[in-house]
Amino acid sequence: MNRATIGLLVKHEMRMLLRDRRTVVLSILLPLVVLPLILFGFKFMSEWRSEQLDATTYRYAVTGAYADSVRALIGRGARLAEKDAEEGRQPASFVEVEVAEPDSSLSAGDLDFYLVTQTGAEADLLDLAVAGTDSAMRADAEIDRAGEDIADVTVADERYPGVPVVTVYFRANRDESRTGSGLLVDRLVDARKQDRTDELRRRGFAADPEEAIELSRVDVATPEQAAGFYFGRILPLFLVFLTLTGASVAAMDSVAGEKERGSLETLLTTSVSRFEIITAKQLTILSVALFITLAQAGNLFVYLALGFIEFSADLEIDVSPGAVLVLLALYVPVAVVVSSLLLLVSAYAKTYRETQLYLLPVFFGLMILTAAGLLPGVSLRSLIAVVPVANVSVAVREIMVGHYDIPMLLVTCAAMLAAAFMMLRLSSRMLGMERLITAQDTDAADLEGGAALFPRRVLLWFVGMWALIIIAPANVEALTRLEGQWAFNMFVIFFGGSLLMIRLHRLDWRQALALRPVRPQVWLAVLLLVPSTLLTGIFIVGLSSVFLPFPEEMLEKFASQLIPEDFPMWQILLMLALTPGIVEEMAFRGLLLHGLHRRLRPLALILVVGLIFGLFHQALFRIIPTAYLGMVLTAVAVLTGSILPCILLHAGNNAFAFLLYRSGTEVENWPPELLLLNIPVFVFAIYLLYRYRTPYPGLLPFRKKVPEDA
Amino acid sequence: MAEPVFVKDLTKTYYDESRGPVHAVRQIGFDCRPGEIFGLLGANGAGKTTTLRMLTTILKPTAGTAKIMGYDVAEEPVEVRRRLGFYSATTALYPRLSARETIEFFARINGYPASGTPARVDELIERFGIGEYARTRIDKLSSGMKQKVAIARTVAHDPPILVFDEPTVGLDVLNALEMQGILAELKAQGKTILFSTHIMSEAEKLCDRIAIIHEGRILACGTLESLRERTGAHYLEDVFVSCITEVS
Repeated sequence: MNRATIGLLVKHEMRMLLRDRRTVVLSILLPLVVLPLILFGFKFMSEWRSEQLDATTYRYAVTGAYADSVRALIGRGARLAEKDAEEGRQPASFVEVEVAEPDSSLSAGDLDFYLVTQTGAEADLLDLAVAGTDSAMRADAEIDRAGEDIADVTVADERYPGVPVVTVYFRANRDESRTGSGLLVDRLVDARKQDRTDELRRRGFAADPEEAIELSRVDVATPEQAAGFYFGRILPLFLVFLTLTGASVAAMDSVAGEKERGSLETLLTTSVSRFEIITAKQLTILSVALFITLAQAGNLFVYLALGFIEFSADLEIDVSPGAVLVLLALYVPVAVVVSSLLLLVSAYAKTYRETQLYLLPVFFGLMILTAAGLLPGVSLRSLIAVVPVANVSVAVREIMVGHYDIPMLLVTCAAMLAAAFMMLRLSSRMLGMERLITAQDTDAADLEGGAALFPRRVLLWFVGMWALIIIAPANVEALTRLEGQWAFNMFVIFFGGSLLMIRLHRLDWRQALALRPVRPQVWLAVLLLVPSTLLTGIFIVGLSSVFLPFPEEMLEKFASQLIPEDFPMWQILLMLALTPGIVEEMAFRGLLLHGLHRRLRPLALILVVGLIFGLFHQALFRIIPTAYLGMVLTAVAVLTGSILPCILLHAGNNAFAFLLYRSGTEVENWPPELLLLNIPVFVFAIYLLYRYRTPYPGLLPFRKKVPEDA
Repeated sequence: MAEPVFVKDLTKTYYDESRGPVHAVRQIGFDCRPGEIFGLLGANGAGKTTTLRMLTTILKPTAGTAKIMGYDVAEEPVEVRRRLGFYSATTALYPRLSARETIEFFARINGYPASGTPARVDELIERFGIGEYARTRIDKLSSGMKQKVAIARTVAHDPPILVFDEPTVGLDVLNALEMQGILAELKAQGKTILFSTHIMSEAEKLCDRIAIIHEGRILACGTLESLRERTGAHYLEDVFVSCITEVS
C-alpha cells in the first residue's frame, strides 16, 4: 500500500466532498442548525406544556352511592395538597361538573375524567354476581358495560368484603385527562392515608404509623459515579447516532455516488489498487464522521452553556482527563467501524438510492448494538467484549463509573479494529465484483422490467408478505382467530401474493409455479418421504432442543391453539394440510424458488428458501422444524423441477403430524434409536429422487467453476 | 521485449440473473505490435467491450491469458494499469473537478512524477486546446470539451499502450474526425493503440490490423489487405459480412 497514493486519493475525495453543496449542507451545516432548533423547541414545548397544565382546572364528575364520601375525601386531599404545595406554586385545581352521561361527556371532552363509586355492600353484590371471576375480569365486565375499549386498567389485587370501590375513568390520549386523573388519585391516596393515620391515633396508636419502622436508603456511590452511570448509558447512543448521521451522507456519495456517475470505472482503470481506493475512501468518511461528531458535541456544549439544555441539579458530571482520553480512544474504533460499515453498504449498493434503502436497517442494527449498555448486569468481562459496538457501549458505561478493566478494554479495541479491517477487505472485494461495478447488466434488466427484474424483486415481495402476516393480525381482530388467520394467510398473502407477482412481473405461470410432470418413481419416493421427513424432523428438533429448549407448557398451548379440539377432522385436514400444501408450495417452491434459482447455487438455494419458509412460521420454536421441512421440500423441487411432488409431501407431512397428535402418539418420547432407524428410509427416498432426477431448469452449477464453452 | 498486448484463449462467461449463463467472449486470441493501431471490429454485443474491460483489468477473465507488456492481467493488474490508458464512453469524469485538476489528478494517481506534472498538464492543455476552459468545472463543459479532457486524462501519465473503447460513439462528424486525428497522432508518437469500433470506415481508415469479432469469437484477424484476399471482397463492410456468413 502506497501512503503517498492514499494521501493523494484522500485529498481528492475531500475536495470532491467539500465541493458538493448538497453534502456540505446536509451533513454539516444542517445538523448544526437543526440540533439547537430541536433542543430549543423541546425546551419551549416542555415549559409551555407545564405552564398550560398548571393553569388548567380539571373537570370531573362523581357518580354512585358512595359519591358524597368520595367528595369529602377529595376535599381533605385538597387541603393536604395546599399544605404540602411548594412555596410560590399553586396546587392543581379541580372542579366538579354535573353531567347526565359521564361516558359521553368524557368522549366529547366536556369532562377530563369521572369517578364511579360503589358502597361496600354494592361492591359485595357485584362480586357475587360475577363469582368465580377475578378482579381483573370484574374490571373487564365494567369495561364491557361502558361499551368502551380501554387500554389501561389498574385494579386493586384483592378487596376485603365491605370495602367501597372507586373507579376513575380517564382517556390516556388526552393530556388533561391523564394528568388530572393521576393528580386526583394521588390526592385521594394522600387523604386516605391521613384518615388511616388519624383513625389509628384515635384508637391509641402512639406514634405516627408512617414511622413505625425508620426506613432509609443510603447511596454510597459518589454523585459523580451516579451521574457517570446515567451518562455512560446514554453517551454511546448519542455518539453513534451523531457518527451515523454525519458519515452517512459522505459514505453514500463515496462509492455508490461514483458508480452512478460512472467515475468509479475510470478510477478502477488507474494504477491504484482497490484496497488503496477503499482505504482512502474510508479515511475520508472517517474524517468527516470525526469532524461532524466533534462539531456536534461542541455545539451541544455551547447550548448547554447557553442554558438550552438543563440537567437535573443532582447530576454532577466529573470525568477525569484520563477517562476522557480512554473514552476518546474507544470512540475512534467506533467511528472506524461505523464508517467501514457505511462504506461497505455504499460499495454493495449500485446506486445512491439503493444505499439509502440499506441505511435504515443498518441504522437500527447499530442502535440496537449500542443499546447493549442499557442492559442491566452485562459486564465487559463476558462474551460481549468481542461483539463490535456493543462492547464499547458496555465499556463506556463501566468507565463512566470509574471501573477500568484494562485487559478487556484491549480486547474491545482489538475486536473493533478486527471488525473494521474485515469490513474494509470486504468493501475492497466488492470493488472487484463485476455485478457491483458495471452497470450494464442491471440497466438491461431495469429497462426490460417485468420478468427480467423479478429475480431482484422477489425477496422484497416476500419481506412485504412477511410484514403483512406479522402486522395484520395485530390490527384486525378477525385475524386473531384461527379461521381468520388461516384464510388471510393462505388466500390473501400466499395465493393472492403469488398471483400478483405473476401478473405484475408478467411471468410465465407454468414456469414460475414449476408445474411440470415428474417421473412415476418420484411419487414412490415422496410417499416414503411423508412419514420419514416428519420423523427425521422430530429427531432434529429433539437435538436442537438441547441447545434451544422451550417450555413444555408453551409448546402444548401452541398445539392446542393450532389444532382446536372442537374442529372436525375434515376441517383440520383442509386448513392445516391440503390448503398449505397447495398454496404455500405455489409461493415458496413456486415463485420464491423461481426468483432465486439463478441467483444462488443449488445448496445455498435450498438453505435460503427453507430458511425463509421457516421465518414465515413466526414463533421462534417453530422456525427450526419448519425451516428443515422447507429445505426438504426445496430439495425435492430442485431435484424434480416441479412443485407437484412438493404439494403431496407438504400436505402429507402436515396431515401425518396432525393424525399423530390426534391419536395421542407422543413421538417426541420415543427413544432416539427408534427415530434414528427412520433415517435410512429418508436417505433412500432422497436417493430415489436423485436417481430419477429431472433437475429444476436453469439451475446454476453446484460449484463455482464455470463450464467451458458449449 | 514483451509484446504490448498478447491475448490467448481469453474467455469470459458470466451469469445474468435473468438470462442465465452468458458467453460474452469465447477463447479469443490476438496480439498487438509496438506502435500499431489494432482494431476490434464487431457489431453491438459482439464482445468488444468485454474484451477491452478484461485487458484493462476491470473484469476478470473466466479462462485464458492476456498480457500487457508481459504482465498478466489477472496476476499483476496494478502493473498492467500502470502501462495503459483506457478511454471509454462509460468512464466518466469527476464533475466537481476542473479540467486542469482532472488531468493533474490522473497523471499523479497513475504514478507520473510530481515534479514533472505541471509541465505535463500544460503540454496536454495546449495540445488539446483546453486552455480556455482549463479552470472550469467539468459539469459546466459541453460534451465535445469533456471528450478532449477525457482523452487528455487517458494519456496524462504517458502510457505506452492506449485502449479506446468505441471512442467516436455519440460524437458529431467534426468531433469524430478530430478523434481520428488524435489517434493517428498518438500512433505517430509511438503508442500502441487498441481500439474497438463498429464503424467500418473508421477501422478501414485507422487500423494497421483488424480483428473481426462476432458473438464472442474472433472470425478473422489481419491487415485489411490480407482480409480482402481471404474473403475476396474489397470493401471492409463486405469483408465483415463475408466472415459472418462463413461461420453461420
